[in-house]
Amino acid sequence: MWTFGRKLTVGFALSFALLLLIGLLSYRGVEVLTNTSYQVTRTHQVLSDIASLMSAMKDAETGQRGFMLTGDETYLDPYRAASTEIPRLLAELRSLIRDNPSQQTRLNQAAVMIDSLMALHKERIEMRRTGSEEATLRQIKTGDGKRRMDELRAIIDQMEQEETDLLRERAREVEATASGVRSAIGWGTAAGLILVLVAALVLNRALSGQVGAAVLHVQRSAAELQAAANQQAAGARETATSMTEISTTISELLATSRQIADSAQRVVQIAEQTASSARGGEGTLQGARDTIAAMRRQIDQVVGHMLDLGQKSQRIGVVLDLVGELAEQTNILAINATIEATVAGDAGRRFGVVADEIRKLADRMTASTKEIRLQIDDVRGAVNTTVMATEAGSKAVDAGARQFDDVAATFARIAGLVVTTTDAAREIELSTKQQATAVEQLNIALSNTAQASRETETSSGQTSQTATELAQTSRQLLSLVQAQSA
Amino acid sequence: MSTTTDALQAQLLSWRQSFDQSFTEPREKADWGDTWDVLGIRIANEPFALHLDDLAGLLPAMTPAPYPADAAALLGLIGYRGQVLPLYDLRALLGRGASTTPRWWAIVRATPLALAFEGFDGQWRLPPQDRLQQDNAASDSGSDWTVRAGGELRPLIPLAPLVERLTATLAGGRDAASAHPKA
Repeated sequence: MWTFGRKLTVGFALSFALLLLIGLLSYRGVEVLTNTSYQVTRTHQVLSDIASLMSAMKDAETGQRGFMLTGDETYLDPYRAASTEIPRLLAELRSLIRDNPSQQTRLNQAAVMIDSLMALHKERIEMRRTGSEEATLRQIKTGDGKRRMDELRAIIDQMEQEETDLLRERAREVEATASGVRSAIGWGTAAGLILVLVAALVLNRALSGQVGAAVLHVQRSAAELQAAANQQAAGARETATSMTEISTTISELLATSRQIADSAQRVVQIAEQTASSARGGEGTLQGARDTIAAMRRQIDQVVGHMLDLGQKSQRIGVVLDLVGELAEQTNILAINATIEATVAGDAGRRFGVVADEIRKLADRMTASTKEIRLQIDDVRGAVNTTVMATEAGSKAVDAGARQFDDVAATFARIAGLVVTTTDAAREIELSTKQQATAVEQLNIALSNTAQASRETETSSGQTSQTATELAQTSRQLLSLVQAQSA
Repeated sequence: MSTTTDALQAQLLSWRQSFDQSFTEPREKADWGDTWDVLGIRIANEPFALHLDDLAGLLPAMTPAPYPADAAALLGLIGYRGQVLPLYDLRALLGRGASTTPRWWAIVRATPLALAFEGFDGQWRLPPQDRLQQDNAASDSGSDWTVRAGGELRPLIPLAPLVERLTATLAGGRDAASAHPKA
């Protein structure tokens, strides 16, 4: 599997090579075309110079002929101009065709001919000036000048033909070079397009495939990392909370331990006091025995008083029966008095009133005796209950006196056990102090652990934040490489 | 305890005031007006009443002297203020069977005889609104009146017809005895 960078490198290298090749070919073609253009220009310059040379030669001949025919010096102006122009043209042509030996040869021949013709013209002009017109015309009629001019024309035509051939050849070269450049540009562009398409396809596949998969993987990993960080943060938070609770509990435990130590210390003190009290308890026990005996006597007295009270209540009942009987008899007497008063008629009415009042008193007395009877019965019931309760109390006091001796013996045993308790309490006090120290150390360790948990929670939060940013970056990257997945 | 004592003190005070009041009332009030003095008795555990005008005395029952006679309601002879009186069972006279334990004797004013009954509830002076006249046939005791006394309705036993009936019975028995003397 090629890496994404390798694919990019290969793609760019191929594109670079192709562009370089196209550039080189184009440059070379342009170079060739430029050279050819320079050469064509030079050929045209050569043709122009040849034409100018030929024209100068014709001007020289025309001027020479005009002078010979007329003898007018003004006809010699073209000749003179040509005489100065021809050497310059020859020099220029020589420099232009220095790379063409055949043309140089022809130019040398032409130069010789031109020198010959110019010398002939000069000779004839001198002859015209000095000689007669006829001698001059004879000289012309020899046709030597025309022959030499024709020979020059032939050479010049050859040179023009040569240059024309060169033009044609360079036109073909230009065509071939332009065709090559066109081919290079066309095929190079096509190859470049194909290469770019292939590279784009390959890169797209690589981006959307490898990079997309990698980004998805990174996204999943980021999500897992975030979940793990959150879980870790939650765990750390719970741990911190638990640690705080445990720390609180341990603080309470510490306080409790201190309280236990204090209590144990107090237990020791109280046990010592108890031992001393138990030792001095004998006198107290004797006093308690005397108190119980006195209580027993008082209870007996209470029982006696109660029985006396019961007897007196009984006597009150007898007296009450007497009173009731008297009331009943009074009532009967009153009724009989009323009857007697009724028998006496109007005279007995006043007596009847008194009898009626007496009867009412007797009725009230009867009612009162009944109420008193009820009260007396209640008193007697209460007395009986009290007597029974007091009897039970008397028995309880007897039992208490018996148990008191047991208590005294038990006290002696307690005094012995209190010593043991004191030692045990001292051990408890010492152990509790050691326990408190250990708990303090444990509390410090727990505080450190809680601090570490809080730091873990903080770092988990940062990890979660980083994972979130990573997931976000992954999503952005994925949206960059896979627009359709967004 | 103090509440009970206070109640008793209050009752005592009210009795004292009532007693004193009886001396402060004017003489004219001593006129009894249209009142009946009745005696509340109990026969077969049922309440009855006797008119005090019909009686000459009331006394607790004692042991009567037995007297051999045929009269079914006769319990014996008693002595009352120097008189010997026959004692009859009021319950038997009313036709309600014999008394189990007669505890009281009432002396009849119109005729020298005594009536024994089981219970004595008290004596009341009744205004007219406590006296109800009723149909004679409706009462098994032959009473014309019913009185309201002691919180109960009590048929008023008319002693005069009862005594007349008894006297007539005794007279009939005496005539029969004289017509057929024993051998």
